[in-house]
Amino acid sequence: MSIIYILIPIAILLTSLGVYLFFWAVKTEQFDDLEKQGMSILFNDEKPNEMTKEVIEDTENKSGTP
Amino acid sequence: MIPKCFHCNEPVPSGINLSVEINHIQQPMCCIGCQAIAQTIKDNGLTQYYTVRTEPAHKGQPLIPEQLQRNKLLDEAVLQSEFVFQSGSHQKGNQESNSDGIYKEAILTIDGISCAACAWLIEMQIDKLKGLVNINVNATSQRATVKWQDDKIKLSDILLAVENIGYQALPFKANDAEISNKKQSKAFIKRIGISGILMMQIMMIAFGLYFGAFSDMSEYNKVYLRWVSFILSIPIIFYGAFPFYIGAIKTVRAKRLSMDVPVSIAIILAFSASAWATITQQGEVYFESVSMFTFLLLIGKFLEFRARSRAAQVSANLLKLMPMTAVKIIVESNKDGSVIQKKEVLIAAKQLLKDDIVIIKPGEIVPADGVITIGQSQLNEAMLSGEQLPITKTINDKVFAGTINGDGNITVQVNKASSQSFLSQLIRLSEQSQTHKPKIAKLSDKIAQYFVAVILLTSIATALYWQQHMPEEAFWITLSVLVATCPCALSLATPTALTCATTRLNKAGIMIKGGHVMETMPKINCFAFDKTGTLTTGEFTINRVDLFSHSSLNTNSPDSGSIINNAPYTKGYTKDYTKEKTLAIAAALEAYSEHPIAKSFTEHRDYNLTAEQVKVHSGQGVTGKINGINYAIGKYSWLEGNTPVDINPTISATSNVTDSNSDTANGHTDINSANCILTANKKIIAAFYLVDKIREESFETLKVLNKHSETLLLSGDNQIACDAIIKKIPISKALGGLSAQDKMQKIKDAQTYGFKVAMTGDGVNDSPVFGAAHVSIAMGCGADITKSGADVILLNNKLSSINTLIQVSRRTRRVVLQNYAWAFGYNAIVLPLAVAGYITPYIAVIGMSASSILVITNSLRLLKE
Repeated sequence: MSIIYILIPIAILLTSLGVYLFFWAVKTEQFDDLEKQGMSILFNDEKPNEMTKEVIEDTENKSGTP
Repeated sequence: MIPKCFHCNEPVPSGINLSVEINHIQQPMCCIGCQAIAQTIKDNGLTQYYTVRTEPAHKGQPLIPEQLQRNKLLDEAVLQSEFVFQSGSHQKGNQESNSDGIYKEAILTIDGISCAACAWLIEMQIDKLKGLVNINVNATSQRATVKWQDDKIKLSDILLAVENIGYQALPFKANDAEISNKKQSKAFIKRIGISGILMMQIMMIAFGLYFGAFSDMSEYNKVYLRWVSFILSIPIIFYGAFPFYIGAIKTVRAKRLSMDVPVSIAIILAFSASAWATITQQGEVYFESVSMFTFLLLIGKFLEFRARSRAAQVSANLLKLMPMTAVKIIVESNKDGSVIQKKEVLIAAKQLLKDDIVIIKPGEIVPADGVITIGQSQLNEAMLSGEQLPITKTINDKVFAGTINGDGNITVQVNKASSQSFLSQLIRLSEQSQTHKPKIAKLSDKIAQYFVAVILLTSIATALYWQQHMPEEAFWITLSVLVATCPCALSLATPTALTCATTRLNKAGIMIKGGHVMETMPKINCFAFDKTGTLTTGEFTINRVDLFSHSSLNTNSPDSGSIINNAPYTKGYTKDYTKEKTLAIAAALEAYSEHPIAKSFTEHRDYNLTAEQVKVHSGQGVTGKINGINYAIGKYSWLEGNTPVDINPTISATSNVTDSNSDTANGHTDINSANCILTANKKIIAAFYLVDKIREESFETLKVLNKHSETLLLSGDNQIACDAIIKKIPISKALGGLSAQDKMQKIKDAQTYGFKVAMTGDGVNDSPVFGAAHVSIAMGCGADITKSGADVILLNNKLSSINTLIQVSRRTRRVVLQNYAWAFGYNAIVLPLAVAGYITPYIAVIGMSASSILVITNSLRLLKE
């Protein structure tokens, strides 16, 4: 049982790290617009490399109406 | 199948052949506006937008030079002082070069954002501009924060770049209430976050303690676990639960009671008792119960807060800051009074004083009330009177601030400073009436008062009783009573139902702004409507077309015979002009006119017909050549005076374009009453009769409303026009010729008879009336001032939304009552048990949580269609 004397303090440390990160996220306004951030993963980076570009176009050609 | 525009998803009109190549596919476009936007998006390599977006874009509008000019005014320092912050990054100064250090910052509201992909598109497009420091677009609030360096780029360039991809951006100034709302919202998220994260930790440890009770966990381990949960729960109690203490103190000070009072007492008692038990190492601890309790209640409070602040935000967006400007004439004179020169200066309309002279150019907004001294023009006063047809005004006529100048240059002497203008007075009247708004007391407030009193009295009685009989248990039993009867489910009952209902209505294009709407709506039994723009669309449509035949055309028609090109048409003249053909010809000509009547022809436009040598005769009509024939369209009186038209044509065909409006007698020959006449080579070929089109859903909506309630028509238009409407729409009573004050009086009269009145309108003249009504509903296309004063905005401009609103509000009331019934029922069962001492605090917590979850689930049912 003595393991809890190590594990619980570690858990508390991790929790406080989590709380710190959460506060940081709130402060940098990451919770202001949940719609946009959720969508952002669907966009490529600013300069998409050729590979990803082709993939996008491929999928579009398949699904797009003739 | 009609091809749809790739950009805005609207059908492509016939004769249009525009396209843009996107991702190697030629995509059809419906208009030049959409094409230009799609091309810009493509040229900037942002076509990803089309693959990711979830909603089609708004239809593109070609850029209007006047609008661009007005944007340029926003670069003026006088105007910028109202909405721009000058910022400098002093801290980062070392890393960055000096010129990067200072930038300007402004908030813009952006019209036309339909989904999150739009926010991405705008950010990408604007980020490319040179001199732009940073842009952040918020898709939820439809706003953007921009930072730019003023020496490298102008604000108007940024606005132009946004307009190039099909959105309208305007500067905006957040009001104080909103800034504090934003701070509060952040604080709420932090509190919920910290309570949630720590609650999970405490729960985990609590499980250890529960199992420890059954197995033989050694005492020092238990003590250790208790201390850990004690420390972990400190932030929840002192930081997370803070809003409850504040709320409780506030209401107690005001000598009232609210849910916050027993909540605060329960939290503080349970925590101090558990802390005491931990320190003295005797008794039970209930840290997990307290933290979960706090966490759940915080969520309920946050939901309520968010619904409120979101409504405030949307209404604030309506108050866009388009500073009105004026061109003032300054006369410089010598000491002896002789005039040296006249100068035109651009100033903000706010700065205008009495007796200033201003020039108003075509298309500009009148900056202040005044009298015309030079020139004449047609002015559109729709925003004051609701009447779409422009009024001709000349020297010595009064003009009003906010109205739009038509096609003439006028010089106006200001006779009232802009703060005393007719428009500002209307706004003030509407603000005043808002404060006297009739209110129906909130159900939840009333319940809370009694319920809380009962809980507190019962707890005190329980404490006293057990103190006599079993002093050592008295404290825990009292605590159980407080926790078990905790109004958690009760306090969630209304906010969750309201949040779900508001979300559901938002999806249907109905925006709820007033907090009381959902409670008041089911009680409404009288619906009042404005006419123009509300029951009707406010746009003219062609009601009837009369075609004229010229029987003796090829023998005695000297006018037309003189034109060679006309020759093939002289025989069988009228057979060539079908209703569709005349409409298409008229549309081709009217495309060049800005007159409101011209718009009604747009839907009949055939792009295969193009007019040449077009001349627009201001306020009279249009002439032009199509396929070699001279056509003229305009008022009969103008064409008659201008050309020797065939006075006695015979009507060959009368056709009604819209069947629902077919009240005019067939064979009606008085062409003087026609709104416009089309002539071909000076022969009348058709007469068009226009009406203000009644909204398609008006009839159905009112039929449904009539079943349960009174309906009223309150219009500023004359009684004859109102009587015409009443024939087509089932409405109980129509009153015409009313001013804003009259309308207010009519509503107050109805209220004295015991009616609960809802007013629907769209014009500025309706906004004071809104204050008098129990619920005010504004059309989405209405004036901004009207919308900002309304409780409900029908963003989709559909009258049928009123019925949806009634339905949803009735369902919401039902769900709220169910929630209350459950919360009370549960409390009624649990209270006697807790008083009798059969329930320990942690069982009380489990029961409380279960009942809260039930309430939330019940509310979620409202989200379904």
